Amino acid sequence: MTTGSSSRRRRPHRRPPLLLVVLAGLGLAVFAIPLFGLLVRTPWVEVPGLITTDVVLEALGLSIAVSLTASAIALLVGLPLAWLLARVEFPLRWLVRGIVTLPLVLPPVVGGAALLFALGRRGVLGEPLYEATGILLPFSVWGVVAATTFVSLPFLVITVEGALRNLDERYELAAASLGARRWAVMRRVTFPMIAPSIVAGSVLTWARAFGEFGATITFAGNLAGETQTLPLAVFVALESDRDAAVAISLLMVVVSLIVLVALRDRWWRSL
Amino acid sequence: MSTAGLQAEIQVTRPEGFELDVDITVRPGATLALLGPNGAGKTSVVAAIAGLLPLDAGRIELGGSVLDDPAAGIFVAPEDRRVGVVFQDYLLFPHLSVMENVAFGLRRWVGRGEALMGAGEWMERLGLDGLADRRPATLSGGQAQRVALARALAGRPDVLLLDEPLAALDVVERARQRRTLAAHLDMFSGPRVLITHDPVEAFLLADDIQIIEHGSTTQRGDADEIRLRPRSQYAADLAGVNLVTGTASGGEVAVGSHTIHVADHQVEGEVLLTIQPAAVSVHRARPSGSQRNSWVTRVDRLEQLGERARLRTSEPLPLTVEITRAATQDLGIREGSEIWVALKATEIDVVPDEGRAGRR
Amino acid sequence: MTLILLLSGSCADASNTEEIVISAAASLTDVFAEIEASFEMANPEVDVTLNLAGSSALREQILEGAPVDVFASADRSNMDEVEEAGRLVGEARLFASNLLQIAVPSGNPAMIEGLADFARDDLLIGLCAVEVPCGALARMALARAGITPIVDTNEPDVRALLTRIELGELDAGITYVTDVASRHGAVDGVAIPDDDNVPAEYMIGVVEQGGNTDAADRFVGFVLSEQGRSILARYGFTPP
Repeated sequence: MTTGSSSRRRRPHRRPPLLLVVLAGLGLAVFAIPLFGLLVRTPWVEVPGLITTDVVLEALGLSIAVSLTASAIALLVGLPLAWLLARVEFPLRWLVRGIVTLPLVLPPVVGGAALLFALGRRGVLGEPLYEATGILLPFSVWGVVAATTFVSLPFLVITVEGALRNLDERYELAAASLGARRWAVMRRVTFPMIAPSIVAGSVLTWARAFGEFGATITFAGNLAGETQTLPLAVFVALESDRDAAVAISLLMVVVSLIVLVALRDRWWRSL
Repeated sequence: MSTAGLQAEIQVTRPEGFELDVDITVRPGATLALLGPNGAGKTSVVAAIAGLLPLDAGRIELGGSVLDDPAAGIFVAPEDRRVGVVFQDYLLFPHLSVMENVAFGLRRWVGRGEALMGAGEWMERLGLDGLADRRPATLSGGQAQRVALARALAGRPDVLLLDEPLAALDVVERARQRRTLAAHLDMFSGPRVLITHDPVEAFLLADDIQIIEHGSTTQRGDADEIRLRPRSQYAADLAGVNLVTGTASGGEVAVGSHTIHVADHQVEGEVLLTIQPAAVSVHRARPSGSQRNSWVTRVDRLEQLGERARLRTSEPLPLTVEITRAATQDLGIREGSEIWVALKATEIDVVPDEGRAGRR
Repeated sequence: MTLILLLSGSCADASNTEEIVISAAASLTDVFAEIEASFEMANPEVDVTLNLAGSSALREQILEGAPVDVFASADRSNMDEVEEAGRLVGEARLFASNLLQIAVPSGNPAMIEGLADFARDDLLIGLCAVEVPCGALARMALARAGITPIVDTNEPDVRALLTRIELGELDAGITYVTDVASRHGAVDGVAIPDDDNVPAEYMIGVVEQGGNTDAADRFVGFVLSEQGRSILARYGFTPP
């Protein structure tokens, strides 16, 4: 599409349209402005002292351990669930898909409350479990894992299910014609072919787990060293020590950036 | 590897509505081409043999063992059958290297190290050395086709099924790969089934041709039979492509005692000429135009097909010629009439006929 | 003064309504709801909006410039900070006291008798986070009684703590007398001896940045009046 000016030279790389750039710039601002606010308010000199306290280091350790555990659980149960949803036609499949998406839509606090009603000490399942085995999820790190897994599992399931649907099933037929049994087909063809999506889904899952707050504080409670993850530590610090809150927030931003940037373009392509 | 062949009676009701009812028999070492219009059911035949499409009725037997027999309640899963398939778009595993692709089917028989060695051998035989570590996405069409074939053959199959193996290639590449494919097929001693819509491919590569239309077989025979005695419009259209063998030298092709002038002066030796029926013009007297080829002959058969007329000429070079019905009336042509035919050298397609030389 | 068209429950003359924002500590939720209703009945031209949260969160909002007219804090220190930052019009006034009480699920299933039980490992004990007044005071009371508690959770505000107790997910916690009273029937109370108890002092003050100082003054006056005090007493608050 040319506009007739004969003196215009055709450039090998055309600049993107101005309107697009402006709108994209606004999009970037949505992320950049709050981050900027955080950076401006950071008491840079005190930061090292603020983030090396026992409370913060405990919270950091807990956050990392819990988010990784939640991601691992998500992979263990999420991959089979995604495969089932993508490949097997079973009754009420549409309903199961809806339920899996529910934690994405529910406010995390509502999720935490639901977990409490189900698995708390007087919960529908929690009470018999406690009476029989003495196992109690709230106030323990496993409660945090439960809450975190609940909110972040959907990310893995949805990403992987999408990838499986887009995968040309004929590759699996080709593998069968070459003598590979069902598990071998999954192991050697299906899952390797969607590996980038699995990684991308895991990253999303981890990120959601790392930042989880509402369900954790509602279900597992808040106790330094046991259930107080970094987001909870920030929330409580905001009440009394704004500098500490900012410093911990900055710590979370840095940790997240390290993980996300380390995976870079390689994995974003398949999101 | 078994020496017995493939026998299949295939009856399947396709979801699209039509019934597939085809019988297939292939001897070891022989190639059967399945020709037919799109949607006729050819791919379903291959799918049934591979076990990807269960029969509704009938029976498939390969090398003496039954693969599928609904009446007897027998169905062998695809991964338990010994079938080598070359798919239409090859379906090479994109995340594996070429070598790993070829070795894939061998893994059901041997361990990893031995499989890679076996793969290496097949790759050498099919001229693929040097490509071992490449990814399928970086291969040319011809290379990918050979890798797909190597992969199918390496798995030690009892039957080889090829679904339009050359369809993804451009015309030039296709002609080139046709010859090598013929040689490669000969490396496999079991029965082979080849699906194609290209009659030249069928005539060159297959011993027998089976035409499938709307789910059933309309004709089976060798190339000559199909060409000379077509039994359906589709077969007649196929037959309408004149295929003539001869010996070329310096732009002249000797066909029996007759000489045909062609535009290609480089090709030498046994060749296959393709002449379109519509490219031949018919005259009452010696034509005065620029055609390099013209001779006198008789009308052996004349068929009116609506607005077209198809005639078969006799010696010195029998050809199927197509002209308009109006033209037959203008020229006053009937069976037995004497006519002159003319053919431009540039209208003749010349292809070296390696491998199937002597086929007329 | 901004003239705002309001769709509130009061039968006010729409063109002349003033709106005031009251930032009140979470523990004042129920009592201030009634005070709001009574005040609006007596002052139909004023529309009151309650902003309820932990006292320190409210303090932060005011310091960040939130357009609040009245601040009712559950302790002196949060109010002092706001005063020192120069945000108050006039002085803050003590308007009520609240005593601490042990809250237990209905029926006291764990048979809690006093603060000493808070040192038991086999019980599930909750306190407010130390960063909120309820939590700070509770720890002071425990210290006075010489008890080192074994805590399972530090809830971010007193309402969250109460909810856990009500659900039976905790065996005991320390809240205010008013909180136990507000969940009458669902939560039972166990008294803390006066020697150990640390009363919370509720302060109220007019904040300048809300912009409606006159109406704010009238609200504060209402709270401090006979009527206000009787409402407070009904909910369990002790007069200043």
